[in-house]
Formats: sequence, structure tokens, C-alpha cells
Amino acid sequence: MMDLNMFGADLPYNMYIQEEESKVNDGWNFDLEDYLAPHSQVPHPWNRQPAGETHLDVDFILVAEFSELEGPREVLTIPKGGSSNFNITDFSVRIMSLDHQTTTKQGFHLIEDSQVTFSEIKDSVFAFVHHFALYDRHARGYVRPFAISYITPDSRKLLQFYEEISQQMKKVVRYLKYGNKLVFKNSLEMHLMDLHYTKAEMLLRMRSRKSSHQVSDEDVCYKNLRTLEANITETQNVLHTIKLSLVDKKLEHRFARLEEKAKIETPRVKSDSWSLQEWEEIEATYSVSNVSGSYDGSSLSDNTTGWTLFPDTRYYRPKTVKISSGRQFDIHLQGLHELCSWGHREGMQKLRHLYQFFKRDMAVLQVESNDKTFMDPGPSALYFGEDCIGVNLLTGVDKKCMGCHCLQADIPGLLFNKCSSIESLSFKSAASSFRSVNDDDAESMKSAISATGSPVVNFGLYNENDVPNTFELEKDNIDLYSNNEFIRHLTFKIQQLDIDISKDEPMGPIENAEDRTTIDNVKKFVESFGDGNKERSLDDVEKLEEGNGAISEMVVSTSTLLGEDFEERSSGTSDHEDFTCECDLSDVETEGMRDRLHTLTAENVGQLEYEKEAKNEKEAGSIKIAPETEKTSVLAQSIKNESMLERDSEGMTSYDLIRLNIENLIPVDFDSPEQESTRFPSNADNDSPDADNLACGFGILHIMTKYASIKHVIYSILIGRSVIVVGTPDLEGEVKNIVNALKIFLTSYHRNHRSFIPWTKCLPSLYKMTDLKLVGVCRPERKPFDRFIPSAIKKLCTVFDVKRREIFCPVYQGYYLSLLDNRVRNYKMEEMLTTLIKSIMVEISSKAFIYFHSFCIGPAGVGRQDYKFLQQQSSSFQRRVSNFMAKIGVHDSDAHIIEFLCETIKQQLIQDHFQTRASVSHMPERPLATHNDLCCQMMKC
Amino acid sequence: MSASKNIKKIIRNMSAGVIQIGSQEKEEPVHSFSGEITPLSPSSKFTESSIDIPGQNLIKYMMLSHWDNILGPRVVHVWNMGTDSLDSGFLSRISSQSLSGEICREVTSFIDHKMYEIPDADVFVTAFIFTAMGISGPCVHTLSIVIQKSDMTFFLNIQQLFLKCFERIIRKFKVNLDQVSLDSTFESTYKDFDDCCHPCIENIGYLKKSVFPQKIVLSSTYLCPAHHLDRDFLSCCISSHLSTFGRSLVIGDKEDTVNMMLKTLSLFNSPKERYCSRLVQQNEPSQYHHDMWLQGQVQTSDHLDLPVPEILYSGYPTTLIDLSQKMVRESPPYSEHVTHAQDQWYNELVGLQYGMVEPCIPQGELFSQHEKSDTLVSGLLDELDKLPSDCGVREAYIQQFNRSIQYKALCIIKYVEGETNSGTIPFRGEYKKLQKDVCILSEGDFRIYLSAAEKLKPGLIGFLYSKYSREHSNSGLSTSKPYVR
Repeated sequence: MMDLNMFGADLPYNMYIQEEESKVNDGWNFDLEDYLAPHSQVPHPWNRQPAGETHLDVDFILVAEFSELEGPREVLTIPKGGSSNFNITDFSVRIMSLDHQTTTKQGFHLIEDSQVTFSEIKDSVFAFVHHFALYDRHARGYVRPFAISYITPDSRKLLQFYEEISQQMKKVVRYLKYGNKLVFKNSLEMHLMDLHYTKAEMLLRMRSRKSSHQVSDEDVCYKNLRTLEANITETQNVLHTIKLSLVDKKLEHRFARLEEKAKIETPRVKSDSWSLQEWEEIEATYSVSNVSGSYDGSSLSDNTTGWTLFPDTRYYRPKTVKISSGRQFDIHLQGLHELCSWGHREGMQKLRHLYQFFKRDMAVLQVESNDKTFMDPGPSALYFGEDCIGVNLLTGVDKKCMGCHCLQADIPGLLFNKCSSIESLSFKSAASSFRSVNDDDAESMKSAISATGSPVVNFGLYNENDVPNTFELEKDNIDLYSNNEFIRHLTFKIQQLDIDISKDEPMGPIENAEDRTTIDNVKKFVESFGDGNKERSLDDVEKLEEGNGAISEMVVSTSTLLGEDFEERSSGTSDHEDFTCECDLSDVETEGMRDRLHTLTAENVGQLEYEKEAKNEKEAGSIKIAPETEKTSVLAQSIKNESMLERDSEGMTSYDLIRLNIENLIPVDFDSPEQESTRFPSNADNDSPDADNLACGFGILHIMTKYASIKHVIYSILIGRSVIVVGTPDLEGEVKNIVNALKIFLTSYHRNHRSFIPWTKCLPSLYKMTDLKLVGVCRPERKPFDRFIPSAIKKLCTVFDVKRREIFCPVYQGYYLSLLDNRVRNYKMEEMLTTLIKSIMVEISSKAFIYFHSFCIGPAGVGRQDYKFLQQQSSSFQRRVSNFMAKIGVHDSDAHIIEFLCETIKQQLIQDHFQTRASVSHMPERPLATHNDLCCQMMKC
Repeated sequence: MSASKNIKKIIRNMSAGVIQIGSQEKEEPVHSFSGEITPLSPSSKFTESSIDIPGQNLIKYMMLSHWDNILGPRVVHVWNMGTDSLDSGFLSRISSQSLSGEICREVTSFIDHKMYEIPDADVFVTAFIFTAMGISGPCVHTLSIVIQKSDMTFFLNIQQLFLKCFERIIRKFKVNLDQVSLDSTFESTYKDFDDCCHPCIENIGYLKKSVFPQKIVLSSTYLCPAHHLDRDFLSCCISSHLSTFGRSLVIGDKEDTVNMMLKTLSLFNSPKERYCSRLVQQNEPSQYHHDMWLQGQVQTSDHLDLPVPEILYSGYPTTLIDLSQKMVRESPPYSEHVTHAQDQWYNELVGLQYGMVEPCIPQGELFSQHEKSDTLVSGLLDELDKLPSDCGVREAYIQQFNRSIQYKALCIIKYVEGETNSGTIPFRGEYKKLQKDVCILSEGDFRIYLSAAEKLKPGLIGFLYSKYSREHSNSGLSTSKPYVR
């Protein structure tokens, strides 16, 4: 230490002297010493430095430890390799030499973490470091110091997001430390048993040869015994301290669940630790063999307890320990994943999320953090794609007094005003939209429905008598529809009903096909047990599912998609949709349960045998699945709920909210692409997850340059007209790309409640089109286009035929989208374009804000209400709308867009109103909002 | 602690490298060696002084420590700001924590920053690490500032300002320390440190005491129909405010009009920026402080007294709004302002070094009239008129307006990023094309968007307008201009 000090202080001094010598002192000049002058470094906006210098180009996370064998060293980096031009070793030395010990207490005690941010402006490196210590029975003082650092070239990131990063780091370390404590506790407990066992052995030996040996030998024995006794007390003390700190039952439960899962998927014993390793290859030096076993001979012989966090100590067979008072330092120390077990997996996962979130451009992060305030209140926020908030109409607006200015007019006027504004766009309820499909007479429908009192609802002015009437009238149509609509939300009963239906049905041709696909699916899972690679894939699937709440939700949604896909192929009605999706999910669950059974009952059954059995069972089990589904889907539900609850209880921080948003943006699996391809070997599985992984709006630049008239399609999306992209099977990729790219314009993009399908084999029925806004459909080669798309659909939906490059849609004439269209050629990178799109969307939304506040609920929208005929009333209303729009500088087609955006928000508010206050069943249907008066044209593109 | 006050003269024998200690030191009481604590050697003594600033105080105490040749991290001086007892063990712990990892630091002009929490003492420390003259030549120093943990949120809000302030203070302090050998001792220099940091600490204390209102009600601004203000003038104020990065100094003859204008403008600032702004208050000193976002001054005399050096010292340009004469002037454009600011930083230190009291400011008319050439703000005012003036609707719309500016700024950033391959090839100066491609209509709008973009991505304007002269600007230190008079 002394040497270092000397060095540290002398170095600058020596340098100073050298500088002084070289300097020519030419008397009185207004000059400052170099070290006194203010630095005038102009920051480079993208942190680029001249080549050749060591510098940081990208953010990265470094986990380093102070190894008692090697000194400070790097353990792992995220992403692998860190930053290309950055000296990680030097940096590790620097951060690990930071002194963060807080106490000078003697004996074993728990060490507190510490966090520090520091800068190195010279190299423009800024770091946030979290120091913590893990416990290891074999380490010096039982302690292994570690540090996780977030390293970035952007100083503002750490300044601005200090609290967020600090919080998240604490969470990561909480996982690591708790996992580690459990491991440490287990190892101590086993060691203690070993010690007791050794003591007993020794006493036995001493007693048996008491008389026959000399005194000196006995002395050695006595000494040994004393050492042993001391060891026991020490271990007991440490164990006591550790046990006191194990209070986080929630985490413990979580780890236990993970372990349970792992046991099921990998019945072989060793593979458990192997699966941990696979999650991240830690170090090359790490050996799979059980370290504790090789060290003191107390190998965990019992295979069932294996390498687990929750071993059953009853099965533990203690071993004798070699007695030595000192410690050995030539042993190999355990890796991070061994030290923390499940905590490592969870912690690293969280760390990766943290990295994915914060590695982005600071400008984007800043804009996003500003947008955060606009997410509240939720229902009045207008989203485009998945991560762009167009506007929030009610942020910062006092809702209680909102609309008070209208009270100057009489109450009926207010009512009318509100009703009319909702009517403005759709002119129909959802119910009417069904009928309009049937009798093709939209115009007459409009008046008819308005006359019967369409389910028009506004904030708190819900008249309960009116709405059921409408439902009564349209009951036949609605019943089926509402089944579909709400089935996903909460009505579990209906799911069971569906299951029952399918169970009752004999193995008809349709059911058969469907079952076969699911069986295929199951088979795939089963087969994957055999092959190493595939096992990995299953592992990942399971991980994805149970990993954390958000991800499990995502898997559920993909399986919904899968289910839909199957369903489309087989039947074309949506009755079975939810059944299939449940079934899909529960297949995994069913298997899970079965596997659990296996592990419990037939522990010693050979691996091969097990596989065969499972396969057989699956093959025979096509009928069995159905009855079991009911049970297991309850289980699935409960697991889902549990994870939801857990997330709730942890408290959604703002960071979490945004992270949820970006989780879609980034691929959740961080494996290499080769692994990804092995995970979904079959075609059927391939399509939906792949499409999911693409960022929203990916490929938009390509699409917009390739198809000249794409702005008309975008217009259709922005006025809420469903868009069907039709392509022959060979154009599957292209269609998916188009859907993916156009997603960025969707206003109703939800994670679970999907409003788009990238690729489906069969045209969705029209009533599903209220939900689906963007569908990629496969047209069989032999079927001509005109026969494939019925005229009813053509009337209500925009159809984009990729094969013939034709679009049938209303023509766009306006400012904003033309602007976008004109600029596309000048844009080289996709991010440039997506940002421009977002900016234009925000601009349009601003107009919607004015329209909403001053026209829809404000005084500008109030007009005469004494018209005798609805027709008159509606046309006068239309006139007022277009007049107002002209006043705020919106013309032609843009006005329709703004109207639709407002309607969307109103719809969200209504939905929210019913979901939070009224009973669910009375919620009015989402209207199929289309402008029927728009004339469509066939266009080449 | 009492022992530390009568600090012994330590004479460093430069040739032998031996420290000679006064003879009394040998009678160090033995009882302090008891316990597990490492005994404090006599040379770990430090001097102490107190800074007395009335009103709220963010800082508990500050301490200066440096890497000692023999002892490693060593406390040199403590400035107490109202804490009763100082535990020397704790102080040395802070000092070693602040200085750890800095062992290999070279002699540079950079002032690095470090921040960490000490959970068991319920404080956090923000430390500045720099090279300054010590007893034995320049060595690594650190100024550790200890703040109560409960003030963390406030600190994080004003952190940007705090760093700017203390960087300035430390730069001056370094020059003072450099002059020690000439006419003063270290002790007296340490004591003089209060004068250096007095205005800054006072300002921060003021910010803590009277926080700028975070929720601005429309009725307290000029955007409310009840308060009439010439529309052109208002639009001018706002657009100038936006194009000078949201920094303004409002001067008027009455307190409430100044405050109303400040509140109006603050609608266009982010919440964090509002934390670093101050309203005018009676009985409170309202000296101009650099690097604040919004501040006001009440001046009744005809002649405007502008704090020009301070305005130039700030990192961003400023709009000067004179309410009584209805005049809006602004600092030179950003690229020019930066050079002014750097000159100012340099000149201040040179002045300190060579004892020149008179501040040096560039000749000629610095502040130009704001030209009324933009449509963005007048469009906004028109739109605001259409919205109901109650229930916070207009305020909400202004927030939406701010967002749209930010998104457009992001467009510019991404556009330049794409065009120049993340800054690896220089931008070829096609500003007209840039404006057209990101759909910006007028020059005035472009300035507003560009300043928003610069805030999101520091260095962007410098990069865009780097013609030929700034090509070396990437290579670390660029040479500072010599002192010009």
C-alpha cells in the first residue's frame, strides 16, 4: 500500500517537474499553467474520437471481481467483448481498487453494498459502479468482492438516470445476493454436518484405540478435536448470521419455482448446472464438475439433491473432513453462476434488460422520459405503433372541471353535443356494422341505428336504460361477437364452455386436423428431450415462459397467435380460437405436470425409457388432452395471475413501464442466431415469433420507396379502415414485411390484444375486422383475386394486392402524408424515417388535441339541435366539423384522420369507463369505424 | 478535535524526503491507540474553518483532501457549514473513498466528478477530483461535499447547475492555491475559499428554500386572456426564449410583471429546468447567476445594468427581455457564444492569476434585437386562442407543443446522424436541404428546433457548423485563446 501511495503522489510531481524544465520562461505573458486552464473540449455529438486512441464507442456493462488468486479481473461483459477500443483490464483494476469497506468490525458480518458514479473526462468515460460481496465458503474471509459497472461515454446518462440505474442495479444485486446466500447457507449446513460427522468419527476412533497408543498421538488427536470444535463454532456463527438475513420469502419462492421448472425439463441430474452455464458462458476456466466435492471430499453423492438451491438435507451423506487449521489457497474458486445459482440467472436477465434499455441514444432516452408523463392517464393516451405516444388528451387537465364551459348551454345541448361528436365518425354502432355487411345498405343503416339510440356513451353520462335495448335488438348478432370480444379478458367460464364443446365433438375432420397440429407440436417438445440442441430450445421456451411476468405474457400472446393460425387453417370460425390457444399453452403445462409426476414416481427410470413412454403417451393422448386441459389451464391461469401479482406488488416504476414498452422492441432472447433457428425447427412455429422479434416499423423505408402509392394505405390505417394485404404463398415474406412496417401507424397496438396478423392462411371473417386493423392474408395461387376477396370486404376494407401491385382504397389528399411521401427519397436510414414519422404523428395528434378540446367537448362543437330529421342534423354536423378543421389548418383527408384519432381516444375512454366502473357485459361494441362515404379507387403502385 | 486546531508546522525537507515534526508531537496521548481503530498519525491533522451563510443550506460540510506522499489520502481542510460534530475517522473515510482509484491520475486540467452514498451515515458525497498545488507540488486533490441523504432528490434536480458552479469555483481555487508561495499560506487560502463559493452556495440555498412553482397555472401567465400583453411582443419573447435554449433574463420595473413573464416562459421549460430557475422576490438578493434557466431582475433606473460577464460565462446563450421598454434582445448565436464563454472562463482565471480586477468583455454591441421572423410561436398562440382557457387545457397543449419540438429536434439529430454516419464524415453544410427534409418551414423555426436538438445532443451545433477551423476540436484539448485586452 505504501508503495502505491508513493507512486501515486510522485507521478504528478515528476511530470510537473519535467514540464517546467521544458517550458521557456519568457517573462510576463498572460498564460496559465496547463493544469490551471479551463478545458475547452467540445463534445462530439456521437462520442467519436480520432482513431487509434483508447476510447469508448458504446455503452457496456462490466462485471468484475477481486479474485484472491489473480487480483482484479473481468468476469463478464454485456455485450460480449465490451467496447472494442476500451481497456477493460485497466478499468477493472481501477474500480476494484475503490475502497468501499464501511466497517472495521471484527469477525463475520454482512457487508453492505455501495454505489458510486465517477467520471474520467480525459477519456470521456463515465461509470456507475455497484460494489457488492458474495459469500463463498472456500474464499478468504468467506467473501468474494464483486462489482457491476455501467460504463458509458455519455455523462448525462448517469446524471439524469442516476436514480433509475441505481434502483435497477440494486434489484439485480438483490437477486444475485439472495441466490448466493441460499447457496452459502446450504454449503455451510452441509459443511457443518460434515464437521459433526468427522467429530463423531474421531471420538469413536479415539475411544477404540485409547489404551493402545502413546500419549503424543493422543495429543495430536486432542489438538485436531479442538480445531474441529473451533471450526464448528465458527461455522455455526456464520450460519446463524446468514440465516437471520434470509428473510425475502418472495424471492425464495421464485427461485423454488424456477428450480421446479428446471427439474421438469431436464430430468438428468447434472444438466441443471449445465443449463445455467448455457445462459451465459461465464469463463473458459470454469469446470462443470462439482467443486465442493473435489475440494473437501464431501461430494454431493446423492443424485437427487444434486446441485440445487433447496436440497433435502435428510438425503445428505456427510463425509469426513481433513482437519487443518489454515486455509488452502490453491483451490479453484467458483464462478458467479455457481455462487448465485438461480439468482445469477434472474439477475443477469435483469441486467440485460437494463442494458438494452439504457444503451440507446441519450437523446431518445430523454425524449422518452419526457413522454413518460404523457402515459398517464392511460385511456386518454394515443399511441402509434408500440412506443410512440401521439398525444395524451387529459394529461395535466383537470377532469373535474373539464367541459364546464359547456354548462352555459343547457344540459340537453351538452348531451347532444357529446353524442354527436361520438357519432361524427362512425355513425354506427358495432352492431350495425354487422348488419351493414349483410344488407350492404350502409346509408339507411346509419339513420336506423341512430334512431334506435345507438350505444353512445360519454364520460359518466351513461344511461343504463338505453343500452340494453340496443343489445336486445341486435342480440343474435352480438352474442357471438361478445363471446369473442371478452373471452380474452376474464370470462374463464366461456373458455371452459368452449373446451366442453370440442370435447363433445367426435373426431370430425376439422377437429382432427386441429388436433394433429397440436400433437405435432407436442411431439416436437418431446423429441427435443433427446437431442442436446433441441433440449436447449425447450429450455429457452420454458425460460421465456416462466422467466418473468412480462415475458410469460408475451409467450401467451404468441401462442394465441399460433392458435389463431391453426384455427384459420382448419375451420375459419372463431369459436375454437380460444380453445386452441388455451390448449396450446396447456400442452406445455400438461407435459409439465406429467413430467413432474415422472420425476416423483419413477426416479430411476432410464432416460430412453422415459422418452419412449412420453412419446407413446402423446401419440395416444390426443383425446386425453382435452379433459386435462381444463385442469391445467386453471393452473396456467393461476401462474399467470401470480406473476401479474408479483409484478404489481413490486410496484411499477416508470422504468418498468418503459421497459415493458421496449421489450417488444428488442428480441427477448439474447442467444446467437444459430440457436434461434434451432429453437423453432418447424415452419408452423416459425412465423409468429420471428415477426414478433422485429421492431415495430421495421422495413418502412424499403416499403415506402418500393410502393409508390403506399400513402393511401397508410391513410386507410389512420382513418381506422382495416387493411388487408393479400399475397400468394410465394410472397409470404413480402407480405409480412409490409404488415410489420405498417404496424407503426396502428393506433390500437396492444401487446395482448392484437390488432394485426402478419400472415394468415385464410381471410378473417368480417366481424373480426373490428379488432383487426392490419392483416396479411395468403391467397391460394389458383384462386383469382376477385373471387378471393368478397365485395363486402372490399367495401369496408382497404385491400392491397401485393402480387399485382394494386391497391383498392380511398384516395388520400392532404398535407401530412404527402409530406412524408415526398421526403422518403432523401432518407438513407430507417431510423431517420421512423423519427420523422413519429414527429409527423405527434403533429397530427396536436391537431387532434385541439379538435377534441375545443370542438368535441368544447364550445366550438355546439350547434343547433332542433333539426327534425337525422339526415339534416348529420349534414349540419359534418359542415361544422369541416369548418372547424379548416380553422385549425386541417384540410381534406387530414380531417378524417384527426376525426378518427379523436374517436379512438373516446373509445378508449368509454372502454376504460366500463372496465373500471360498470359491469363488463354492458360495454358497447367497438364500432367498425369506416367512412363509407369515401369513394374507393383501384390504384397501381 | 481540539488538538487539530493547533496544527503543527510541517516542514518538508525536499532533498531528503523526510517530514520533520515539532517536538510536542511525541506526547500524543496513548489512549487514542486503544481499540481497533488505526491510530491517527500527527500528520493526519487538518485545519478547520466555518462558512456561515444565512438561510437554507444544502451542504453539510465540505472537505479538501489530497494524496499524500506517505500517508495516502489525507484530509487537509474542512469547511463546516453548520454541523455540530465532525468525526475525524469518518472524515478520513470519506477522503479515502473520494480519492481511491485516483492513484494513477495524471496532471490535467480536467475536473472529474464522483458521487456515492454512505448509507450508514445517512449522507451522500459528491466529490470533485482535480490537480492542484499542494505542499510538495501539484498533486491530486479532491473536494468532497457532504450532503444529507434526504436532499438527494433536490440535488439530482439541480445537479447540472451544481456541477457548473463548483467547476468554476474549483478552477478559481486552483489558481489561488498556485499562488500560495507568493504571498500567502495554504491556511489563509483555504479560508479565502468561502468568498469564492459564497454566491453559489447562497444561490443554491435560495433555490432550495423557494422552489420555482412546478405547476404553472395559466391565470398567472400572460397567456391568460385576462392579462393583456402585446401579442407580437409576447410571441417575440417566447420564440427568442426557445431559440436561446430556454434561457432568459427578464428585467422589469415591477416584481409581479417580471414574475408573470418568468412563469409564462417557464411553460416552455422542462421540469428539471424549472428547478434551476428563480422568481424575483422582495428582500431577496437577485444577483444574476450563470447557468440558470430563468431569472429576473427589478431595475427602476433608465439605464439597464446588464451583468455581461456573467451572461457570457453561461454555457448557453440568453434572451434579455426588457419589459418596461418592450425590448427583446439575445446573446449571439450559440457557436459564437461558445467561444465567448470559453474566453470568459479563461480570462477570469488569468485576471485572478495576474491580479487584474477589471473584468474583460468583448467590445461592440453584443446583444442583438430578436428578429420577428417565425411562424411557429404565432401559430401556437393562434391555436391556444381556440382552446378553453380553464381546466389546464392550454397548459396541456403547450406541453404537447414542447413535445412536438422535441420530436422535430430528434428528427434533425437522426437526420444528421444518418447523413454523416454518426459523425464520422463531416456534414457538408446543406442546411437548406436539411430544413426541407425534416419539414422545417422558416429560418426562425429552424433555430428553435436546432437549439432543442443541441440540448438533446450536446455538440451537435458545433459539429454542424464546424467549417474548417474546428477540425481539430475532436482531439481533446483545443488551444485556448490568449488573454486579449
